[in-house]
Amino acid sequence: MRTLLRKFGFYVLTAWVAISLNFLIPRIMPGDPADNLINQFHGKLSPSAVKALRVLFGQSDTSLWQQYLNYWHSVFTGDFGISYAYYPSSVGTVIGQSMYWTLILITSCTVIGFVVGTGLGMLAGWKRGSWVDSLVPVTTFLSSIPYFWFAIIIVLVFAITLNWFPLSGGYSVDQTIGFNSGFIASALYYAVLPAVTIVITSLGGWLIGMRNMMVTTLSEDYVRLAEAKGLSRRRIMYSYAARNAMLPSLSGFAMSLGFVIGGSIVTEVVFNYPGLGTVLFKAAQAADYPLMSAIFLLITILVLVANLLADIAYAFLDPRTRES
Amino acid sequence: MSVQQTTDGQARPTGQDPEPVLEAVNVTKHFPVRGGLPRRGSARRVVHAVENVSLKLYPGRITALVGESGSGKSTLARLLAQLYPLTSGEVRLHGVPVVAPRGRAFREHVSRVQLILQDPFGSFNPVATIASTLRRAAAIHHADTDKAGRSAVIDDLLTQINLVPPRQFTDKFPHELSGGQLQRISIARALAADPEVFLADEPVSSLDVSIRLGVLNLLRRLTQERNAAMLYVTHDIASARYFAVDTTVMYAGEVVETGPSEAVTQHAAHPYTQLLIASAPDPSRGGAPRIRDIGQPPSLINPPTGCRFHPRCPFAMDRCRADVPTSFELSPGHTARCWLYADDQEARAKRAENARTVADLTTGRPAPADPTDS
Amino acid sequence: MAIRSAALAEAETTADLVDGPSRLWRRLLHSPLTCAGLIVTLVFLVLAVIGPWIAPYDPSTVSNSATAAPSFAHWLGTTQNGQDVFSQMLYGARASMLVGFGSAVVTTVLSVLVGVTAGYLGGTGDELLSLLANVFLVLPSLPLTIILAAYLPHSGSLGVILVISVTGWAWGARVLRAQTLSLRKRDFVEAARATGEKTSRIIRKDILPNQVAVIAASFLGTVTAAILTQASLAFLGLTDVTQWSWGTILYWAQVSSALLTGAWWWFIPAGLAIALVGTALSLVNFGIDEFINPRLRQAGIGTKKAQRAQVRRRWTRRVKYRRPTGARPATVPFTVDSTDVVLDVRNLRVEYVNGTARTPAVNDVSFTLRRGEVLGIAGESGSGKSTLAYAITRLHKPPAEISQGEIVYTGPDGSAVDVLSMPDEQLRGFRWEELSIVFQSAMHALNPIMRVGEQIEDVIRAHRPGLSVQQRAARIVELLGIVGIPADRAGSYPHELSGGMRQRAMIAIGLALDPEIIVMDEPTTALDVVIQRQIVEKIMELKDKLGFSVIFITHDLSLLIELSDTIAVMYGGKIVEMAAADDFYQRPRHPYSRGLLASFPTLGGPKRELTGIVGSPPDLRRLPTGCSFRPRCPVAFDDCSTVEPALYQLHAPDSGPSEAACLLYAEGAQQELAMGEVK
Repeated sequence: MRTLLRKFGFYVLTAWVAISLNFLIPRIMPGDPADNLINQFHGKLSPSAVKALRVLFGQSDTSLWQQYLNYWHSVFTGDFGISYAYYPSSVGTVIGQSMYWTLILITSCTVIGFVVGTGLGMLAGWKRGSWVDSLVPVTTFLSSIPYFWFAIIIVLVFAITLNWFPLSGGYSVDQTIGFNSGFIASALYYAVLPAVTIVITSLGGWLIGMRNMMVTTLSEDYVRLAEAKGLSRRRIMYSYAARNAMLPSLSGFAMSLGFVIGGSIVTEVVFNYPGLGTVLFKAAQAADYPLMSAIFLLITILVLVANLLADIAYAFLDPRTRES
Repeated sequence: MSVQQTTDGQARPTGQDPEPVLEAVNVTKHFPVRGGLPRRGSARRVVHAVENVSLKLYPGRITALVGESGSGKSTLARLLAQLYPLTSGEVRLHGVPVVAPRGRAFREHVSRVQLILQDPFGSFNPVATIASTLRRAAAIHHADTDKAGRSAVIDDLLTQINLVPPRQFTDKFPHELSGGQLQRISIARALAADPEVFLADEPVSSLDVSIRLGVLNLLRRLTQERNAAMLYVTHDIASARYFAVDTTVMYAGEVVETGPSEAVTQHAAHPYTQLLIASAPDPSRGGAPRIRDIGQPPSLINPPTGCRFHPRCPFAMDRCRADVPTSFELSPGHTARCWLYADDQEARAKRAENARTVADLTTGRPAPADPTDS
Repeated sequence: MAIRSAALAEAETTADLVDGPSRLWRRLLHSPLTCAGLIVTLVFLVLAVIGPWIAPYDPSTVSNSATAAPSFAHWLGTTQNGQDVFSQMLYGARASMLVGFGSAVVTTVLSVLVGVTAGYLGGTGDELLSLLANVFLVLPSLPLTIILAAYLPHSGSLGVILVISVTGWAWGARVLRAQTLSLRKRDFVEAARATGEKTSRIIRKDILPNQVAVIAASFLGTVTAAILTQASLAFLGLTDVTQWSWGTILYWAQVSSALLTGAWWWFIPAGLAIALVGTALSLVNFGIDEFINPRLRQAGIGTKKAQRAQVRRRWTRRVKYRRPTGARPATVPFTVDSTDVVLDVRNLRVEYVNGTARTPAVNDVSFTLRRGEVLGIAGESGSGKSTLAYAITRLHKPPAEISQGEIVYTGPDGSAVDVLSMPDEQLRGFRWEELSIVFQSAMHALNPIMRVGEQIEDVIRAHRPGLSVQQRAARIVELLGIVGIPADRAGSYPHELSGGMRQRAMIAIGLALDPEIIVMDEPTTALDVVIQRQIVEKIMELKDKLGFSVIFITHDLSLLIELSDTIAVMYGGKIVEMAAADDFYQRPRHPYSRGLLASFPTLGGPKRELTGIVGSPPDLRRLPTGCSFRPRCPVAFDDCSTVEPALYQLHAPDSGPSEAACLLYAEGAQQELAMGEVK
C-alpha cells in the first residue's frame, strides 16, 4: 500500500512537472511566435483573443508568479482559451469532441496489442528455437515500420485496392452521432483499419520483451522445480514462467505506452480520424499553441493514469512490492 | 625494491603483547534503512550492523573474527579499511585515530591497510587482464617507478604468491584462471601496497576445500615474513582454531567472546560460541551433545534489549533481557560478554548447568588412520 | 522497442559479463542474423555518406515526367512535379541517418553522464537525478517532441536532434543507472576502491568498460527511435520540409495525395528504408542482448526438440510403471547389509554437447541406493555432482545429454522401471510421487510470486486430483508442521521467510507426496552453520520417521560423514571411492579422499596436521590422461598417466567392503610394492 501511495505521489509530481513545462515552453522558446500568429490572422482576431495569446507567451504586465497562478487556474477550470486552428471554437470544445475517439481507439488497441503481443511472446519464449520463434524477426520488422507509413499501406491495400473498408474518417456522414446502433456499427467499421495498424505495429515491442524475459525466466530454478514436481506444462507455463516474465513488461509499461500513443497520434492523421491526433496535427500546422498544449496535457494525464493502472496491476501480481 | 624491504622482519611477537598496529575502539556502525519516508515522531530507522566493538590487531599475528552472516564481521573489516565512515568510535593506526573517508588521507590509509575480498571471481574486473589489474595497483603504490619497474614489481608479486613463471599469468583474463589462482592474485594485489595490516574477508570461503589450505598457508607465511597484522574474517570457527592466534566471536553486531583461539574453541564460554561449535559439522568429535536451538539471528533494525542473544539462549536470566552484559575475564586474555560469568548465586547455578551441557562439546574421537604413520 | 530494453535492464542483473568488449564483436559476428543487421546498417551508412554524389538527379529539380512509374531513367519513378524519387531517397538517407546517429550520440552521452553519475555517487544526487529521469520517462515523448518542434518551426537536423535528445535521454540513463548500481556493488569495484584507486579512474576503468554492451544497445535503440521520430515530425510537416529526408518524402507524398493517385513508388521506398534500418539495428541489438544475457541463447523447454535432446533414444525394455496404490508399507530401518535397492544407477554418462565436441561431466557412474539409506555424494567444483543430481531426475537441460546408462527405480511393491526410457506423461507421474528434489538455493527455487502454501498445494493437486480443498489444506498444515513451520506461514510469500524457513518450506514441498527418494543438492550450502544444523537434524528426524531414502550431494565432506550411511566421492566426473561412512572416515582409500579429509580443520580433540592437496580441481574439458587425479596425487607412479583406474573392490579385515578407483589397489604385486613405499 505504501508503495502504491508513493507511486501515486510520483505521478502527481510528474503531472506537476508536465503542467509546469507546458507553462514554461512558450516562455522560453526563441522568436516571437505570438506576433507571428497574430499577423497570420490579419486582424481577424478579437482583441480578447489577442490578449489571451499574449498571455500565453508571457507577454503580460503581471509577474511570472502571478502568470503561473493564473495558468493553474485555467488548468483547473479547463479554460484553455480559443483555438486558432478551429477559430472561433474554444479549445475545450475542440478537445471535447475529439477526445473520446482517441480514448476509445487507443485504449482498446493498447490492451489488445499488449495481450496479444505478450501472449505470443510467451509462446515464442516457451518454444524458443521452434517455428513460433520465427515470429520474432517478422514482428521486429513490423515494429520498425513507421506507424503512419504502415497505415498508408493498409489504406492502399484495404481501402483503395480492395475497397473493403472506408478510406478515412471516424464514421459514415449519413449517421448522427449518438448512442444508436447505426452510428456505433459505422464507428466500429471505420475503426477497423486504424485499430489493425496500431495493434500490428505495437505488437512487436511487447512480443520481444515478453519473449526475452520468458526465455530468461525458463532457466530459473523455480521453473525447474516446477518441472521436477511433475506439474502440467500449462501450469508451469502460466503460473511459474509467464507470470514472472510479465513483470518487467508491466514495469516498463510507461516507456512503451508513450511509444504506442505517439505512433497512434500520427496514424490518426493518415486516416483523418476525428481524434486528438488529427487535431494535434492541424494545430501544429496552424501553430495553434493553446490547442497543442492542452492536447499535450491531456495525453500526459492519460498516460499517467494508464501507468498508475499498470502499477496497480504490478502490485497485484508481484507480492514483493506490496510490503511496506 | 620496496616490496622486498620488509621481508626481513622475521621476528614474531613473544611474551608481552607489543603495541597494536590497528585498533578498533568502541566502533559502532548504523546503516540507514533506505526507502520509505521517516514516520512522524520516530527516529529514522537504522540497521545496527556493528555496535560498540573493540578489537586489536598485532604485528605478525593473525586474529580471527568469527560470526554468521549478518553478525557485522565483514562490516567491521570494511570499517577498519575506512571504506565506510564510522557512526561512532575510533579506528586507530599505531595509536593515532584515523578519519580518512576519501582523497589523499584515504589512499594513505589503504596503503597501510589492505582488504582481501571473499569471491575471487568477483573481485577482478572481467574485461581487464591480470597484468592491467596489478599494474593499476602498482601504479598507485609505486608511483615513482617507471613502466619497466612496474613490470618488475608485478613479476615479483606473483613470485611471492607462488605463481611462477609470472609471465604465464599476466596476460590472462580472470575467467581463464581458477578460483585458487585468482585468490592468490588478489593477495598479490594487496601486497602491492606493502601493507602493515591485511584484512582478509572470508578469503577461502568460496574456494574448493582441497585448495583452501594452500591459500591460508600463503597468508600465514606472508604475515610472518612481513611481520604484518592480519584480520581473518570467517564463518568457520574450526579454521580459526588452526589458523589464528586469537579469535573474536561476533553475534548480531556485538563481540560476545574473545581470546586465544585454542581457549575459545576448546573452552567456549559464551552460549552462542558453544552453539556455533556444536553446530559445525565435524566428524572428529564423538557423539558431541547437540544443543537444541530453534531460533534465528534477530532483526538488527530492532535488536533485542540487553544481551542480543537472550531470545535464543537456553540459560537466559532476567538480567540478560534488561542489561547489556559486561566483559568477564575467564583466563588471561579470554573474555566473554555473558552474565553467566557474573559472581553471584544465580549466575553460578546457571553456569554449572551450562558446564554440564557442554562438557563433551569438543571431546575427540579416534583420528582417522593416517596413511603416513602406522 | 522500448519494452525490449526494459527487459534488458531487468536481465542485466543476472548478466554474465565475463567476456570483454573484444569478445562482443566476435560473438556478434557469430550469429547470421546479427551479421545481416550489421551489413544492412553499414550499407545505409555508406549510402548516407556518398548518396548525394551518386544521385543521378538533383532531388528538387522539376521535370516533365510527372508521377511516372519506375523506369530505367527513374529507378523509383518520379513525383507529382517530376522529381526523381531515387535521388530524393539518396539525399534523404543522409538527413535521416544524420538525425538518427546524431541524436543517438547526444542522447547516449547524456544518458551515460546522468546514469553513471547517479548510479555511482548515490545519495541525494542519485535520488533527484533518477526522479528526473523517471518523470521524463513517463512524459509521452512524441507529443512533447511535436510541441517542441512546433515551437522551432522549420528547424534543420540540428534542431530535431536537440529535441529528440532532450526528450529521449531518460531511458538510457535509467538502464545505465541500474547497471552502474549493480556494478558498484560488485567486488572488483570494491577491491579497486580498497586498493586506493581514484573514483574517476574506477569509473573509467572498471564501470564503463563493463557497460559497453549496454551502452551499445541503448545507442542503437536510440538510432531507430530517432529515425522514426524524425520521420513522424517530417511527415507532420514540423521540420524544414524543403530539406530532403525520408520523412519529408513521405510528407510530400501525403500532401500530394500520392496514395489516391496510386503513385505507390513515391511512398513505399522511404517507409521501407526506415523499416529496414530499424530492423537491422534491432537484429544487432538482439545479438547484444544475447551477449549480455547468455540465457537467451538457450532453447525453450516447451519444444519437442528440447524434450527429445535430453536423453539419447535407444532401445530399452519398457517396464510398465504403476501408480502406487494406497499407503506404502511400513519401512524397516536401514542397515548396512540391506539389499533392498530402490534406485540403481548403472554406467550413467552425461555429456555436454557443443557442436561436435562432447565433454563428459558424469562419466560411467554406477551406484545403488537402498531403501532408507542416506547416500552422500561428495565432490568439489567440476566433479560432476550437480550434473549427476539433475540427470537422476532427468532435469538436465541441453546442451547436457545422457548418452549412456540406466536408472532403474524399484517401487515398494517390487515393480522396476527405467527412468530414462519413460515417456513424458509417465515421467510426470513418477516425478515427485516417487522422487523429489531439494535445490541448493530455496530463494531461487521457490516461485517468488506464489504463496508457500500454494506451492505445496499445486503439487498435491497435480498428483492427487481426487482430494478436496479441505483435504489439501489439511495436508499443507500437516507438512508445514512436520518441518517446523507455523501453519499460518502457508499464506506467506517466499521473500517473507528467513533463509532457514525457506529451506524448510522446500523440504515440506519435497515431502508433499511422501516420496521414496529425495535428492538433496547442496540443500544447506547457502545457510549459516547453526541453521544448517537445524535443517540437517530435521532431515534426519524425518527420514527416520517417514522412511524415505536420501541422495545428499555436497562439497562438505565432514557434514556428509556425519549424516550419511554410505559415501561416494566424485572427482573429474567419476566416482573414485565408495564406502560406508564410518569406514570411509577411519580408512579413506583413495589418495584424493585422504587429502580431502586432511583438509578439514577439526574442533574435537587435539589439533592434527592439515596437509591439504596441491593444485586445483581439474577442468572437465581438459582432463589429464589416465587417472584424472594424477597431477595432484602425492603417490602417483608411472602407470597412473596411462591407465585409467577402474573401481576396485576392497575387503579389508577391519572394515566393511569398499571401492576405490586407484591403481594402488589394482591386482598385482607392483602396486602393493608402491603402496609399501608410500608407507
